[in-house]
Amino acid sequence: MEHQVDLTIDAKGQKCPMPVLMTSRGIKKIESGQVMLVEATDGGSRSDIPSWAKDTGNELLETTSDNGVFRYLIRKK
Amino acid sequence: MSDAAMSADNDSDVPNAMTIVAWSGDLDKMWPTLILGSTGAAYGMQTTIFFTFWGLFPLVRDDVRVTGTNAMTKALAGMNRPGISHMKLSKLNMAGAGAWMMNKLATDNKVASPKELIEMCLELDVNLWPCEMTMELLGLRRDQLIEGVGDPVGAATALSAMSKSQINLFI
Repeated sequence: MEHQVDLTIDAKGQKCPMPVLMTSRGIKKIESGQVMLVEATDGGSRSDIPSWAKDTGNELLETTSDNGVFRYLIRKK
Repeated sequence: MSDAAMSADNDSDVPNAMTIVAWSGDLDKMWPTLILGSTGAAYGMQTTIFFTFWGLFPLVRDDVRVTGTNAMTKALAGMNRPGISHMKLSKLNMAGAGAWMMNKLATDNKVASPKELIEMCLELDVNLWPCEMTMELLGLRRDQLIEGVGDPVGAATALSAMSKSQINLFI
């Protein structure tokens, strides 16, 4: 499923907890209903980003991984 | 359904407040304190860090060498250099070599430094509360602390925040 991405956060190379902090910072910059793409290489993000999304009520639309890069599509609540 | 039950339903099981008592000024304790503090705020929790005893020294600006009002408190700052960039390891410090190696490893691995994390905390509106009593005890002045920290508070204020927090940590 293709989504229009309104903001891309490049957290590649960043270690815990930076991907979550950058995700949190990013979500403040978009409007409700808009979609943010977060790219990270930190393995911890595989559990951190989904749990962050669940607990903050934002919707994790899609998680993909490619060549060590994890991509998370998140829709702001 | 009663109001209390309704609000419990609406809140689900997501914590909305966290308070950390930062007692230690050791690098290997303050680091996780700041990681958890900034992440808590990223989680949308009302996050407060109460800095007391040794935990206060990292709140002092890096450029301040001497703190204290008398020979004893000045000597303390001399032996325990204040500032977020001058913390020591609780073990294997080896006169600073251990701390230097830890910082080097962190930089090489792109792990955010305590200084970056405290800036992140400020950006994410984490309450950084210095302990008033310890400040007086150690002879620390408000203008010697980094910008953005809250007003010095007492134990009761810290406890009040803790009583409203689902997560309370003492590090």
